[in-house]
Amino acid sequence: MAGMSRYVAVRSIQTFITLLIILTLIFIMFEALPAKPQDLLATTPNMQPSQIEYMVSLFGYDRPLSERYLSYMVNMLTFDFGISFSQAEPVSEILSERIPRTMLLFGGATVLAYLVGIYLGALIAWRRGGVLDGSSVVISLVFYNMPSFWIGLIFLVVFASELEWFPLTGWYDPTDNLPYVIDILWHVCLPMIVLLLLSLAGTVLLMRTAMLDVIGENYMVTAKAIGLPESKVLFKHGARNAMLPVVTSFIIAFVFSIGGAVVLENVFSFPGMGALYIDALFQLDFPVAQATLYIITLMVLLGNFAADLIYGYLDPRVRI
Amino acid sequence: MKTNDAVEDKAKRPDAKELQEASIKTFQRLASGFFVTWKIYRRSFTGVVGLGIVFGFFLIAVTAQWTAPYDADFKAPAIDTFIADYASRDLPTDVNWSKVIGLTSSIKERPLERVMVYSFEEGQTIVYPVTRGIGELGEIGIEIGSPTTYVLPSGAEYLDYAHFYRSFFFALCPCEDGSNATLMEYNYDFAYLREHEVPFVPLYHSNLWNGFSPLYQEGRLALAFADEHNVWMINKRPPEITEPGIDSVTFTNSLTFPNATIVGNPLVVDGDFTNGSMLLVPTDEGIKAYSLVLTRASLTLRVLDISIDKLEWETNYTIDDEPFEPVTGNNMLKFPYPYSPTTALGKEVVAVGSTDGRLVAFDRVSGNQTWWSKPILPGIREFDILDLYSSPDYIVMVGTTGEKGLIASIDPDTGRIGGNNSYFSTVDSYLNSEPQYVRGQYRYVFSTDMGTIYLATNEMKVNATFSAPGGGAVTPASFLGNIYIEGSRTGNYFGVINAEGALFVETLTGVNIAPLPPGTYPSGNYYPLGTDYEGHDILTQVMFGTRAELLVGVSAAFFSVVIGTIVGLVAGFYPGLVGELLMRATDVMLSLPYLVIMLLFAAAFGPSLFNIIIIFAILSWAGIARVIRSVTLTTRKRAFVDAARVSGASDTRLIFRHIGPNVIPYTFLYMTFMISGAIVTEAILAFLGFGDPNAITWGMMLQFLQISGHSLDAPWWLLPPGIAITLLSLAFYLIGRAFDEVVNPRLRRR
Repeated sequence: MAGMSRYVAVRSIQTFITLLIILTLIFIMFEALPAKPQDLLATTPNMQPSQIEYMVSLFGYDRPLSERYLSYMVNMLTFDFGISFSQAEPVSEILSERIPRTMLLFGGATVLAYLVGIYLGALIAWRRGGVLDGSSVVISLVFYNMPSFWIGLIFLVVFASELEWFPLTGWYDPTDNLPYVIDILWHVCLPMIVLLLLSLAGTVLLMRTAMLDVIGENYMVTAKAIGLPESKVLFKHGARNAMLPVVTSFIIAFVFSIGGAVVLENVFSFPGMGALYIDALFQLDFPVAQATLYIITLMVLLGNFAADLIYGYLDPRVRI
Repeated sequence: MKTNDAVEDKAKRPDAKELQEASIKTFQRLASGFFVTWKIYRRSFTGVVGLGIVFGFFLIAVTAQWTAPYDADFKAPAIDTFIADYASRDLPTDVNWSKVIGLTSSIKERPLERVMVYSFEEGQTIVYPVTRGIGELGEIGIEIGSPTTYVLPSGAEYLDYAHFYRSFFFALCPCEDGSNATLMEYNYDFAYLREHEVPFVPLYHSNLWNGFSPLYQEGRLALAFADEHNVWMINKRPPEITEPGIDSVTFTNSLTFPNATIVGNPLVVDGDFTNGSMLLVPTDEGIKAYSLVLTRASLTLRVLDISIDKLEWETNYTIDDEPFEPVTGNNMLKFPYPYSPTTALGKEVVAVGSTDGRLVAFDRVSGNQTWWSKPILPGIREFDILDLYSSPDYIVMVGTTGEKGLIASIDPDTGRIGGNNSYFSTVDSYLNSEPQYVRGQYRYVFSTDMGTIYLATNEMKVNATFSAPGGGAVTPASFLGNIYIEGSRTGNYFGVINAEGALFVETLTGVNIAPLPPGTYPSGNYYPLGTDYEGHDILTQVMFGTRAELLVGVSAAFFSVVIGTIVGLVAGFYPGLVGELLMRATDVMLSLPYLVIMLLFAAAFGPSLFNIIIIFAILSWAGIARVIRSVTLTTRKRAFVDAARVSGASDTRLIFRHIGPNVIPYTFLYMTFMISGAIVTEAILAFLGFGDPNAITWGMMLQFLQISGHSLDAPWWLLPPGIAITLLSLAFYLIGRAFDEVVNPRLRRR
């Protein structure tokens, strides 16, 4: 396993360097923003110039660029995010409240999408050329190209506003008189269904392609020839082997779906990380925006890293 | 030797014929290549459908300005979108009617009791009683009762109604021989009271009934008329409050300027009718200010007489010793006159506009220039000042930008727009009415030549527009008054005569019912897919939106594949350090949380279509770079590259001439997928508030839907842009898939 440990070491260093580059990029972009946090303070009519100056120096915006960059990097890498401008709370507290929600919503949706997608994809490939195949490919393609916020809005209109099956927005509403966990699940349901549909499209297509590769293999023919029942051939011999590339893409799919959280959380007013990020950007709440961006980036990088390790473990060729 | 030379020459410089043959050959090769590609491509049914959809959208984009039902910046007229209860009565046609006047018998709150119209030629006057009603949507409405007709002297040029103490009605008629004019006075019940002879035919007038002062409880009405050389002032108290011993409370006085020419309205400036009141006369020599002398009864302090006294000051039209040309006309001179005395304090300037767009203010008491300014109106280069009015807090400037009308609130302390929350608005045409104060709403109502009625804030920010049914208004809009129910103010009304010749009275408090569902509306317009919140036709917007979508999609994808292809080619051709560095950069790009980073870029770059294209290009090239690199890695090992290298081709030539054409199909392939991605990305950015606010895009339409709060109740607005995005994005994706089968033959067997 010497090759493997070397591979892990190289990949870790690469990931860390990538993280440093992205952090720097984020710093530069925040510096390039046309509006500065102190501009927001200045719009409050009761703020005295001396107070604004005090706030600016408190948050360190009067210090030279290099010094700020250094302290920014150190703070980010040590997870010391400071205090939010807009909520006057430690950023880490805000984030620790938000992260689990986003993880629940997007993690849940991705897991479901994979469970359903693998089954559907295998089935579709098995009955290749049929009505199911044609229509599901078309439907998948349509969902794949749909703007996520739009389908989210449509679901809101139909299932929340018209049919009133689900609540319109939010996370937990004490007036519903439901147990805490049930109420949260009820709120999460609709965005999760939308998310499921959106990520299902990719999974189904991926699984279909993988399954089509497998179907032509000799052992499938053998399995059929020795008279195994169709479902056994399909799932035990076919799907199981075809699943491999699909499953390994799971982690990446999950972290990338979190990147898309900004859109859907906005539509469903879901108080997760994505909504927090957008709000922070508009409120010029730099500490929160930077921290959220950092956490999302970190998750994506670690997800990629983990996926690479799994590939490396499964397929020795990539270790080189 | 000679022949040899000739041969060499020929080899060096192919003649025209050979060139032509070569180009024909190239063309044939391209054509046959295209034909072969098409033969494979057309086997894919979805690919052909995708191509058809894209072609359809392209046609829409190109022909939008002819085929779209409305212009790109069309907004449904107020008559369709703004529902306020109104009442109308047909008037006798072929009559030159005056503006609509609201009559009241009370002074303070102007409760509207009757409305009247006056015929200039015939003197016919129709008066309708009005009562409150309830509109269809439960809003406060209006009802008009059966009319009474009066006959007044015909030929009035000046007509106004004073809502002051008890009510007056003045008609100024030039006498029949045309020599002089008469100011006629009627009371609220249209009974003739008295008349005064004006010693000339007036050219300018100013009317002022701001004399009502709670401080002194002594109301006054001052009117000043002028022709080119004379000023005549009448100052009176209402006859209803005559007291024993003071029967006549009307004072008149006049001034003559034999040498100077009067160029604008004379202005009576009220110093709460203590000594300090003034009469200002703008002449071609400058402004001349006369003091008014009030004689009071010693015990009761009642005013016994008012007369024009000595010249207090005189000022030339100069700014920093440079002469300027003042605007001339009926409202050139204005004192920022507040309706209540408390806000009057400290704003004692007389303002005059200049023909080059400047405003000059003179101190009321000393005549010294206090400030001058050239108001800056963001987005407007040239404008002319036409009239000045006053409001409780501002000098109101009315002007024109050449095409449009302009109304602005000017800070009377500095002459600036923008200070003190002042504001300006452009309106569709010249103003044809004085901005009239709507009590209670703290709003102004005015109308334009185009027949549109505007409701603006005290700062002259337009809140609402109205238009009368039947082709808009033909008379200036006039504020009529209020109707009350049980002590609370309920409705403010304006009146106009519309193009169909009907009296039209409408409440100023209405409801915007846009977004409108599909259908035909009172203006006669048909909105096939309905309208959005501001009354934009959805179909028109979707059609014009196609342009921006195709532009953003194609150019963003183009730039990103160009970057990606070049990076991939270079990285593949130099697999050493350069390639390794480029591939690390590619890895960094690929591991970015794409959308989240893109939002930060969009925030930093600022919202514009161009920036969205650039951002997409610099964040999306990595995927294609990887593919192109791997294709390049295999291609560079092939024999024809070695052959070219041996024959001395440079690296650049090898990359772009020999390897390049082999990766082009992949570039095209990824470009189609990229277009599909860029279209959706633009929509997402726009939806999240980072789109170009000046462009019509499908994403912006959906963002506006979301922020206007109609995402749940306007499916006709929600569906079309989303369907369009999905269709166009899907179409490019399908093209990509079909093309993929051309480029990667192994896919074909499936």
